[in-house]
Amino acid sequence: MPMASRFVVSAFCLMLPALSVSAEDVTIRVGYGPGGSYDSMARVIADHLGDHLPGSPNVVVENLPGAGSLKLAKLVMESTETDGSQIATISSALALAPVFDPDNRAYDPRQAHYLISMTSAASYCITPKASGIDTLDAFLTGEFKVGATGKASTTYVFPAAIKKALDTNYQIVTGFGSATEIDLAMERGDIQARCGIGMSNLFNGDMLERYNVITELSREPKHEIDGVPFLLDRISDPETHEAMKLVLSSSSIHHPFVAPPATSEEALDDLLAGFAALATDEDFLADAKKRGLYLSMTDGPTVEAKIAEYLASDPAVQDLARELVQ
Amino acid sequence: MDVLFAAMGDLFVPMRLVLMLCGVVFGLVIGVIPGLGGLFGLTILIPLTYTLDPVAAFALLLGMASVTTTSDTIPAVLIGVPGTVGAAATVMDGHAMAKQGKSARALGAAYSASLVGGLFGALLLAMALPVLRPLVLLLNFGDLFAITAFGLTMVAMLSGRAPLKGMVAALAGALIAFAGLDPYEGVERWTLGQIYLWDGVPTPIVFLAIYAVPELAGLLQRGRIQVADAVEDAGGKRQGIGDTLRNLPLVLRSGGIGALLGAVPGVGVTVIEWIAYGDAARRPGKGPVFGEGNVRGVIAPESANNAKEGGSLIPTLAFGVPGSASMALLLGAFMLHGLVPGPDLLRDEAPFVVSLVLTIALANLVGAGLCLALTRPLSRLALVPAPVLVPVALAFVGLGVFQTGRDPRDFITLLVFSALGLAMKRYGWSRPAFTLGLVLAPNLERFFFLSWQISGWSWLAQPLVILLLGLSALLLGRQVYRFSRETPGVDVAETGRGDAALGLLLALLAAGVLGMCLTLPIEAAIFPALVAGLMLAAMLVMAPRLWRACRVRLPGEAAGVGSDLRFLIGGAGGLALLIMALGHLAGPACFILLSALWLRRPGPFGAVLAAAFATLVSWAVFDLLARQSWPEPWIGSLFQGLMPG
Repeated sequence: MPMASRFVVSAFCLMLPALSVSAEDVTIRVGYGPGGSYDSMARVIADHLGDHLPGSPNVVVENLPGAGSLKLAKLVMESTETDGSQIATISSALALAPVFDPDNRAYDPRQAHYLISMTSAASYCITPKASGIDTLDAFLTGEFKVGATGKASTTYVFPAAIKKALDTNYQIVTGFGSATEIDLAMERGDIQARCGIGMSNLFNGDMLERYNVITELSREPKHEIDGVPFLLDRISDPETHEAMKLVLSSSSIHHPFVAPPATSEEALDDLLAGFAALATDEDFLADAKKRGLYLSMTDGPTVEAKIAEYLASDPAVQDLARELVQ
Repeated sequence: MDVLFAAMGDLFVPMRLVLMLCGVVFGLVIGVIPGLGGLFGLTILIPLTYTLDPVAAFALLLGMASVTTTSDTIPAVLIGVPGTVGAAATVMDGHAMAKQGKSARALGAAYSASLVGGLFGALLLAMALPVLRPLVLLLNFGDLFAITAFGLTMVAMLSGRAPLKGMVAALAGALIAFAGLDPYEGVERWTLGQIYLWDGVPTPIVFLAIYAVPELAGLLQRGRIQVADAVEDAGGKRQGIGDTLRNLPLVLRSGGIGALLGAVPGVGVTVIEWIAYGDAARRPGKGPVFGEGNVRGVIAPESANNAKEGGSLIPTLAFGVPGSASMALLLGAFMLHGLVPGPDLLRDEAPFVVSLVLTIALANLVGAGLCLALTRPLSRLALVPAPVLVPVALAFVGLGVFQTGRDPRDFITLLVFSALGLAMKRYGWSRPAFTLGLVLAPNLERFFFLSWQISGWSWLAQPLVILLLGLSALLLGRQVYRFSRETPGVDVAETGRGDAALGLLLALLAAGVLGMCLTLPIEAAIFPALVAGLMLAAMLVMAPRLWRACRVRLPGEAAGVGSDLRFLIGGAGGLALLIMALGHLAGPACFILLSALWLRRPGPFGAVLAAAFATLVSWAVFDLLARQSWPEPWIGSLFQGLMPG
């Protein structure tokens, strides 16, 4: 056989493994880098979800970080996978993109299939014990600094909205690389508060011993932590109250998992059933607890109904909500 | 002492030692593959620790994480490609030594320095345990700004005979790094409307493009790593170890820099290794000048980047605050095993914490020992013909790039910055200075705005800030004085019209950025405008020389540029197309086979063997260990399109 022919034959032999793409795997793509709460949630789910899907597929996690998960959200919209083999976890705030970022054409929450939200728990504002800011009144009237990452993150959006709605005196410091960098700055005393912290982080280690939990941020009062005042109780103006509710809505559908719009009905049913079974899987719940993850799950159809409700709110309220987070 | 014995008793159990050894071997393997590193390793290994006890789990995890910066020296020294971002400084002198036939000496020095640095880092971690909290709380964002600025002054050391070119290269790196959403206002800066660029250009890909493609192109032209007339160094490994022992104060000082700065969240490995390199460059000792194969330029960064691993555990252990994504993953692993980092862990689980320190120390010992044992066969790679080595190395670079985001635009980034890297190499614009600007400028901007928002201008009066900024100014001043007195400068006859063209291109980049800054809010524009302004000023000073250069036609310049272009388009571009068309297994294999046909070396058996090796490694890493959903190869879509229904 001539040398060139031998090369061609070798090339095709080596090509065979690439053509045998496994159809048995389900991939969970995470819109953030390894190590964060989205990544942790995806990894604990990956360890158990396969048991509840037809054929018990192997579930793998891969990270596709970028633009606060918008990069992945765009890929979800463009995906042509119909067999349910690719699902994603993206920022809960993207569900409200048509309200807060109407120019954003990359992701449409009405097109994507929401499979589950892993937590609907409230978010909180915290201050270090050493700061002396230990009540909501002190928080709303004091002059101090609140740490935030990017302007699209809840660490900025929530305190910015509170500042406008209640005319507070604090200053928001933006540009932190991560929430943990904010925590370290609080330890040093450089800043005195952080908003948008979730239950999983709050019950992590000795956080509750070292920090004051100032206020609960959610649409409806949850009272998950005794004695923590509900922020919306302080907003008396009805329009501002409604706008603020809209701002805080993303925490009620936190850590969502979505399937691409192209997913077939059959595959979608399988995924929804799989996540529903996962929600009552004792092993999964125990594993999540062991990893410090606080769960309060909402099934996919309910998440979609909530999103539809939020997006259908009064346009005037949406305008005011947009104004609050600027 | 009881705690130490208890920790030793916990760790020195055969099964746990075997797990640590597995971690070490795995860490060494992923350190060698460009584009992969400790973070990748942790995502693979953490799920394997679910059923292990905490000591065994962390023996595996830290065993791996402690040694990726040991083996990343291999591609850095042999082919001039940093295996991880942390090996960029090692390339400077390590690769120069390999070209001179001293690869065994460079590797011997690097591994022994890694070993001593790693052990010293572990020792410092052990000693710092009681005072961890105040140590980490000592430094604020103002100090971080000053440390980063101090690291940036190393540009002066990296510019060789062309200080202005070095400065412009660093500023160009900074301008490119400012792409994306700005940290203060969140507005888009030269993202070309692409979400892909919102978080900036992907740094690992730019690193590979700037270093790997130009070095591999040069290697192919040279014929093999070791230049033809260089004498092979017999006993080089022993000589390298001797170099480390003779330079013990430097090793310990660099290890100290690595461990202490590693403990401060926000100071990355790039700053650490360049500060260590710059510190060594101030006292070059006997031997060649820095950048041309001085062994102290290998010893210092290698000691520092291994010592850093011990230091970076400090904030994670002391506060439960991870200083990096790798540490965030480790923090998750602590939680998984029921351990809560923080003061209580140090008090209640002291033997476990000490077992972590012992693991780091032991892993460094084993990792460096394994690498030293392999030094001789590895150094023989310097004699392997380039047509055999280059296609395989380029295939792994291509895979390293594509696995970053599995986005076709990753390849466009690779090609654009490879073209820049090839031109910079050909015309003597410092690539290390470019990458230093690329990595440090965004941090400088972020730390500045954080300091300013937190304490106005008062942070400028902090003692460490005054000290470090003063030192930076002194170092720069001294370097400028030296250049003006001692350096003859670069003759236009050495550069030619291509140099002028590159200069013009960079000037246009700066002018373009300055123009775009006019449309940005002041906070988002201030740093890029300052950098672009400085760049244009430097270009103005260089203008007369570049004007003369553009009228010089260098013999062989057109042929050299043509060869670079062929490598860029046929090599890097062809590889990208093959990976996209045939997938991550068959694409690189076909590339290696076609390269063998084109270059007429190696023979059919060797080519098939090389292709099979690349396929096997790619399959083992990206399918077996860390399964990833690669985009469907074009050929797959074609078959699907041809199938009925």
